[in-house]
Amino acid sequence: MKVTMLYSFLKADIEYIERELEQAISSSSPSLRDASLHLLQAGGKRIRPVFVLLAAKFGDYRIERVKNVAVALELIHMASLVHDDVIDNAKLRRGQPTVKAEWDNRMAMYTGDYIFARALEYMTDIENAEAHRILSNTMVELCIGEINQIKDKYQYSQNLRDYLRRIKRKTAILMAASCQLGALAADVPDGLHQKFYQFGYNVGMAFQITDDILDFTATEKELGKPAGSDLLQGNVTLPALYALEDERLREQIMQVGEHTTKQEMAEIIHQMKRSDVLDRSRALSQRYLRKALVILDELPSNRTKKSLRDIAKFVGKRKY
Amino acid sequence: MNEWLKQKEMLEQKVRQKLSYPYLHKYIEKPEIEESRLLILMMPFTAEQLLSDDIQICIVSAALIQIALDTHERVIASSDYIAKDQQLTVLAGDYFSGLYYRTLAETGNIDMIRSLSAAVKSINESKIALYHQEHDSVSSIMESVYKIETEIIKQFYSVFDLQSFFPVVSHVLSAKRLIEEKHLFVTGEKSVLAEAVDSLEAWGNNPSLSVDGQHEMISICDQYINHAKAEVEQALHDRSVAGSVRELCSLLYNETFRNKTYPEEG
Repeated sequence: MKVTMLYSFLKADIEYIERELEQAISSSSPSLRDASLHLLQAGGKRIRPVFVLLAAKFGDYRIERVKNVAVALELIHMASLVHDDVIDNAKLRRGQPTVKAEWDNRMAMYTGDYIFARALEYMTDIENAEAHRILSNTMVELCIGEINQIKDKYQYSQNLRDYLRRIKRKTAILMAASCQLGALAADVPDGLHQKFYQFGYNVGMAFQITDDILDFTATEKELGKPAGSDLLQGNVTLPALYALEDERLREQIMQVGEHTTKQEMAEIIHQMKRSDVLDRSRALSQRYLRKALVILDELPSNRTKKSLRDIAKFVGKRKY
Repeated sequence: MNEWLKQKEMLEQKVRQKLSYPYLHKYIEKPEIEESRLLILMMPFTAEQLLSDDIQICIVSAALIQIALDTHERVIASSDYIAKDQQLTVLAGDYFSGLYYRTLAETGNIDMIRSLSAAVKSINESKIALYHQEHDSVSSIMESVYKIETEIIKQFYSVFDLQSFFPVVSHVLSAKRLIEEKHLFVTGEKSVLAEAVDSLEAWGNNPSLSVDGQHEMISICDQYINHAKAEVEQALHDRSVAGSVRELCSLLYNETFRNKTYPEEG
């Protein structure tokens, strides 16, 4: 099932957000317009704007107001992807050349900075100081998470806490902020919008763990990059962390580098699949999902709750 | 003036505190705020006004966003491989950008966030136009240079309704950039400005300018620099401008326009 079917009742509003996104990145500079459009049209699930809209449905839902938050969050996500591709020296994203590959790093830096500035411009239509405090803290923490990811590369002595803190910053907090800010934009009462944060956080953690599992289990075609890419780049994700507990696997994993061949990586992945590391990783992802669903049960009942529940379950079950 | 200079040191210290990140500093070039830019941010305020937390926060934030943009300028344009220091330079710029936003968000200054975001948007549009040689005239190239160098100050001043200070500082900032670009060109280093001018149809798209073309390029820079210099000199003689401001303009004038001769120019 496609995830978009889970919130089909929001179709018109999602299309409106999509048009706003295109409007947001339009520019007097033809090169900038091309680069930004290039990224926008590469697609994406738009999960953050969806969370904004769904959370806003629990309050005073006014699309003209809520769209500013939805657009801002998706633009922030887009800006971070442009810069991430420079950091990772990535040639492709979603099967399309990255901005840095199509143009160069300089263009990618300017494009990312432009998109981020546009995100803040949209966000300043929300005259709510707390919303800005939440989002700005999220931005700073996101950067710290990315910096720590580089710091932790090839660090095989790191522990579970290091990993969880890293993915919290890298992924979960932006999803958490999406939910919370959607609720705030719809004037959801105090106390309640913090629950949206917790829901988004737990879904985000599950999402990233699932992503990290898929890096080992999905095919190259599904991933758009070779399987085991995280490990090849020195990123010690949850399955690898668990695998390091096994002496034989530990020895193999610590040898992995840019020189590692596809066959060597395939053998490591095969050994990991034979062990319990992937099941343990899935179990942790499920724990976060269960926490998210428990929090969801505490929210007022309405039609939107079912969509949030279905999306959370989808996150946990997705294959790519 | 002494009190004012003490405030400057205090603001520099606040900016440095914000930028402090030991792991980053092991790998990236140390981020610094250009003294002239800090002076320009402070210039319209008295020493007493500079004691205000709100004003200090705004100045620190404007300094941070400038540093963020300057940091991203250090990312190498093209490479098949990206070293750790370059990866961290990308992230450092993003981090400093996040800090500027957070610093203002903590006090709920949404107006300044809006204004500085507008500045960053405009600056990056201009940077791309320059880098991708999208202009069709020298004057539009200079317009982009002008925006890149002055937009943050312009938006900062507009929030405080201090637009009257903008003309003189804008001349100082744009002249500084032109002097730097001219130096790069004269010493055979890469100059984005020279490449943009070079790409204009009227110049025949010639990647390697003739001697006459090179003289023409220097002449264009000098024309704009001299115009800026004249405007600042006029401001220095304007008795209606407060003494402290004239003193600061004098500092900026000397820093920008004096002692800027290079052996290659003769």
